[in-house]
Amino acid sequence: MSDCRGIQESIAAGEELPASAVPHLERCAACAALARDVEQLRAAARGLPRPPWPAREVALRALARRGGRGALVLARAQLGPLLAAVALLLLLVGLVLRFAPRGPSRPEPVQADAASIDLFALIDRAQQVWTPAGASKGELAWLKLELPSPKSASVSEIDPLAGLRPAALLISADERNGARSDNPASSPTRGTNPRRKP
Amino acid sequence: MQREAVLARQNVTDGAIGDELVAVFTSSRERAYWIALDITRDPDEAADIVAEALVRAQRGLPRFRGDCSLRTYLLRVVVNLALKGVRRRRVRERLRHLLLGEEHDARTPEHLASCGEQSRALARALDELPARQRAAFVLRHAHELHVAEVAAVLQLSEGTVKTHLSRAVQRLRRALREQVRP
Repeated sequence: MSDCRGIQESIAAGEELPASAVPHLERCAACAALARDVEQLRAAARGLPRPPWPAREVALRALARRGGRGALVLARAQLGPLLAAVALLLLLVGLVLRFAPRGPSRPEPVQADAASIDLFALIDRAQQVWTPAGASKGELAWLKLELPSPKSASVSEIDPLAGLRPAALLISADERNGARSDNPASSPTRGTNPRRKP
Repeated sequence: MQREAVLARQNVTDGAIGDELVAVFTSSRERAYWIALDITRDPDEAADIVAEALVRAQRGLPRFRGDCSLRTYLLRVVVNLALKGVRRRRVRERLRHLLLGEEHDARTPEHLASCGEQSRALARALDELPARQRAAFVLRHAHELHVAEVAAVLQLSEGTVKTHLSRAVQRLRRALREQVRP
């Protein structure tokens, strides 16, 4: 019995048993059962889970416990990612506001009427011709040739823009009316583009 | 006098002992964490214990007598903190039981969900052991420290450690048999 006590203590402590204890183990069922159980317990104890070591968490907690600047470092470390996320968000919002189109969305550009374009182009052309620079190049003389004489026509017959147009582009009022009557469905201004006329 | 002699035996000068402790902590902190976890069964508390242990070990260095290695000294601090945590929790649970009539929380902690049935049963049975027996069993059988090292960590004699281990094994066998028997 006294043998059992010493051997069982050694078995429970997981110690190497002396050679003299081996015959006792073969004889004593209680000691043998204990040896088996201790082996099982050791295996189960070694099988206890080993979760990953939370190094960062422990370091932060240690800093906080150290007090003084440790708490400040901890606060900075904990709030750092949050502050960085807020700064990034603000930056993104700023960029969007900076490059987004202002006001309501831009309307689709309206297809300008061909005739009106020509009209304005002609006016531009006339203004260019009447500049002193244009006059010096002889364009004034060219234009004068195109102008109808005010004395030979009544005021109503004179197309105020006729003289401003290049000769090749001039069309009569009849031709214009004819073009309209050809296509009554078209708008009054449509089809009057002199460039499209043969 | 003893301190200097022991430090000299460990090749550590008094001035460099702080650095040496940090080096020892760095090399054995994972083991310290798992020991704390096996004793407390609470990952949060274990992380807290290891953090606290480093701070306490550094503060306590001037009082370190040099009667054991720095690793043992560090594990001693960890185990003492874990035992304190276990005892405090037991008192809380008893109070809760007395005042509110709540039973002991027998839920399996999350970190035990992945391990085998035997280990889960052992973890539950370990909960029922007195704190010192639990620490002795964990250090000896789960972390395979020598009996002498366990004795140094727990600041007990080797004979007392063996007695604790023997009683712990008896209780665990009984508890596991009861768990198997419905």
